[in-house]
Order: sequence, then C-alpha cells, then structure tokens
Amino acid sequence: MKRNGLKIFLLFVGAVFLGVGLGGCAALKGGPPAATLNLTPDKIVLSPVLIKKPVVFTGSGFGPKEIVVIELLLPKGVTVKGVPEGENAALGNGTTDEKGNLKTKMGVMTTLNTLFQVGWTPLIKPDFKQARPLPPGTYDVIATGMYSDRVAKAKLTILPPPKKKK
Amino acid sequence: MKRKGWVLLFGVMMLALASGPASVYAAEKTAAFLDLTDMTGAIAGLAGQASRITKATFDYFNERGGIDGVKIKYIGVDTRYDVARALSAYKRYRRTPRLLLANTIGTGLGKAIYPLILRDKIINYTPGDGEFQARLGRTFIYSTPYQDGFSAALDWMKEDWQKKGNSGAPIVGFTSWDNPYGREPFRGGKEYAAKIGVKLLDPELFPVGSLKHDVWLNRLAAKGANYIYVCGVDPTPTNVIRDAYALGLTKKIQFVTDYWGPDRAVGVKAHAEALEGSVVVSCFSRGTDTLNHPIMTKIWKKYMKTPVNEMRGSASIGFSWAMHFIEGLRIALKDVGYEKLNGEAMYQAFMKLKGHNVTQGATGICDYSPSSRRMSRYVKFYRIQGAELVPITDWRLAPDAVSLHKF
Repeated sequence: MKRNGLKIFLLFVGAVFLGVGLGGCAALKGGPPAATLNLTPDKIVLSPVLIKKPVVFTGSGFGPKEIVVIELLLPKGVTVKGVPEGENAALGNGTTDEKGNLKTKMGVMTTLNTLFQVGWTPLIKPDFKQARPLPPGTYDVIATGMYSDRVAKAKLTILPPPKKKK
Repeated sequence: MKRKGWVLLFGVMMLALASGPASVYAAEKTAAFLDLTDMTGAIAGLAGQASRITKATFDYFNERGGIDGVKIKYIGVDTRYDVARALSAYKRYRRTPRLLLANTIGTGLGKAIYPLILRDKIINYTPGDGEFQARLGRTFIYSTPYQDGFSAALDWMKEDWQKKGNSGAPIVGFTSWDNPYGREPFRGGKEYAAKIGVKLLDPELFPVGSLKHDVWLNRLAAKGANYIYVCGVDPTPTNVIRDAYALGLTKKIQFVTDYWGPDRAVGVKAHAEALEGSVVVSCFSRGTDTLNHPIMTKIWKKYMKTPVNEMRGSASIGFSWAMHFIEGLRIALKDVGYEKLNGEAMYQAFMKLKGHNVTQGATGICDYSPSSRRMSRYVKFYRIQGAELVPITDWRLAPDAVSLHKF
C-alpha cells in the first residue's frame, strides 16, 4: 500500500511538471509564432565584394520595435580576434518594425573584423596583410530579441575560395 | 533511527548547498563597470590604452579595500569599434549584479545601445557629441562637448591674434575627418565664431585614413587662414601638421588641434620638429601635467610596468573614466546603501557631481548635474615645445556652444 502511495505521489508530481511545462509553451497557448531568421546569401565566399554587397538579415516573430542581436556560434577550435573562447561572435544588429519584423545588413566593421579578421594601421585603415579570414564551413547563427528574449536560428556557410585558374 | 539519520544528513547537505554560494557572494560586495572598448580595432591606440588605465585605477582602489568596502568589478570587452559586437557584449553582461555604467566609446555605439540603457535603468559614457547635452538623458559625455572645446579655441585664437599686435579677429580654417565626429565642432562652433566676429572658413573634410593632406591645407591657406583647427585621433592631426610643415605653412599659420591631437608618445615622438609650436586644446591633462600627476604616475608605475615617461595622453582619459565612476559610486552608496545600489542610484549620484574635483587635476572641475551631461566645462591649452606638451594656460571655462545650435 505504502509503495503504491509513493508511486501515485510521484506520478502526480510528474503530471504537475508536465502541465506547467506545456502551459508555458507559447504555441499551445496561441502565443506569438516562433521567431525566424534568414540570411541572404546564406552561402558566401570571403571576398571584398561583401563590403559593397553585405549579407542581409531578415526575420520575423520578434517583439515590436525591439533591438535584435545576430551572432555566430563559434565551433570549437575556431577563434575570432577579440572574442574570448566560448563566446559568440556578433554578425549584426537591427531594430524590428511594429510587427516584429527585422531587416538589417552586416556592417562594414563586422565584415572586416569578424569575417576577415583584419588588422588596423595607425592611420585607421584596414590591414588585409594581417587578416585571418574565418575558415570555410557551415556555422550556426542565432538572432536574439533583447526585450522578448525570443531566439531565431539559421545557418551561414563560408565556401572555400575558388581555385585560381592556371 | 537509521531512517532519521539519513533524513538529518540530507537536511544538513541541503543547508550547506543553499548557504554555501550565498556566503561567498555575501563576502564580497561589488559594483560593475562594463567597458565596451576597443583593444585591437581601429581606435585601439586611444581607447584601448585609456581602458588599461581605467582597469589599473580600479585595481589600485580595490587593493585598498574598494569604495566604502565595495569592490569595482571591471568588465573589459574588445568591441573592435563595432556596434554589433558592443550590443552582443551588452547582451552577455547586462544581467551582471549591480551593473551601474556602460562605457560606450563611440557616439554611434552609444546611440545604438541607448534604448537598452534606458530599459535597464543604468547610465553610459560617450565622447563629446553635444547632442547629449542638448537632449538630457542617461548618457553622460565623458569630455567637454566638441563644440564647446572648439569655441574655447576660437577665443584663444582671437586673444593670441590681438596679443601679436593685430586688430580685429583672425580668419580660421577647419580640417577634420569626414564623419559625424569631424563635423560636430561646427554644430554650435560655427554660431559661436559668428558671435565673436571670427571669420570661419568652410570646413575641409577628408576621408579617415588619408595619407596626405596637401589639397585641403592648400585650399585653406589660399583662402587666407591665419589659424587652422585640426581634428582626428592622433596620428592623424600629427600627419596633417607634418604635411603643413612640409608645405611651409606652419611658418605663417598657427595650428591648433582638439583633445585627440598630437600625443607625446605617438605623434610628438615621431614628428617633434614639424609639430614644434603647435597648440592642443584639451579637457584632459596632457604632457608634463600628466607626468606630474601624483596618483596617475603611482598607478602607471605599479600596473603598466613601463617607465612613466612613456605615459600617453590617453592615461588621463582612462583615469577620468574610472574616477568619475568611483566618485559617483561613493555618493550612491552614501545615499541608498549597498543593498539598494543600482543604475538608478548611480544616475542620481552622477547628477550630484557638479563642483567636485574628481580627478585632482587630470580634468577640470566636474559639471554633471540635472541640467548638465558635460564631464567638465573646462579646457586647458598646451604648446608642443622641445618634443613635449607644455601647459600655456590654466583650466579655462569653455563657452556654451551647444546651446547656440538647434539639434
């Protein structure tokens, strides 16, 4: 009897936890749709073209008039100058419209400092001789709403540079 | 009995777990300073150096027991002068217990973060954009506004012109980077020039990173400039004057630079001959004043591990960032105590700093108040003589040029 009582009690506790967990789920409550993030293009070759035609970020499902921060999740072994190990590398930022939609592009400083990892001359010119471009690969990207804490995910692929024709 | 023993043991373990970390936190009281600086990017030579002194100043006070028992937690982030990185870092650290202030080293960076500063009810530092004085908020300008400094320089030029036996007012040229910082002195400075009868030529703005400046200098010389005000972060102003020297213009035109002008350890070291006689207006102590500052030199010797004579002009900037935070913290603790210490308390405390001699001579008397976001209204003039910056005036009240402009 005693044993059965304990089982019933544990089942009850489990049910309460499940209920609270599902109750918090926005989708079941008819809350806002999940936030989305798209990168255009989402496959890039690191070249100076990116300064004139930067990656564009579009998204939805964030809070209205909200600051959104877009970050690259650095895989183990990949480092970015100035970013301590275990932290994300920023790719962009923007503010959503009244409907929570986002449209922004990667800034020149981010393209230079994070994708190319350039050095800087004392005359404040980017120094490509010191550049350590991010290695080719597919990276996870997240966008976080700074007020709503809503997070959207996407991928960015850095393609290897095309082989030079002989 | 056996069962009771286990229950007792479990209870003791839970108590230990619950009280352990709390007692560690209780042992050290802290207040946090988030420095969104630039250690390896475009303006690392100025901001990164200043930040090293900020940290060293906090270390110095922390080793002496902190501020009324509260240690300052310095969080330095290398943003590489990138707004996206600054925001990402702010996201990471905004929940730090008792985060009171974010140092946003660029105007653009400060403006991008400001909605979060408002939301989190903390305060931020920003450079000399007069807009933050015109529209009072939680952003505190960490210098004298650029237009006020420029107007003080116009006053000095007029005085100098007349001291040399000339009548009336001189013709003044202006050259700077072609960006919002470069144009800022004109927003109020232009109106002030008209007010005191100085003929101010149209600005000659050049791209950041320009290697030679002959075109812009020749244009100003052709228009009859008697004085030229040069902006940009060193070595840019040094290189402008270096080019003027090569063109023979320094013989007939007096060059004056803004706060970020020739640094004793950068431009002056490299081009002392070309810079000889040039004047720097600054709201931070420079040259021999900095070398003789008792606390700054003590901090430099202990933490920077290089000879004092290698101290840069940026030392007084970093020292000022730290000392204004410390003075504000002292007031906030007195007003609300540690338990209620938060960004709002720091905001209220900063507005009580007016009239305080916060840096003991590294800057002028503080001006922060309910109606002022200027770190100070005072500037000082230095002349480059024998490869050193030597003071030629005491601290002088800069005109209120911000109020002359419509923002």
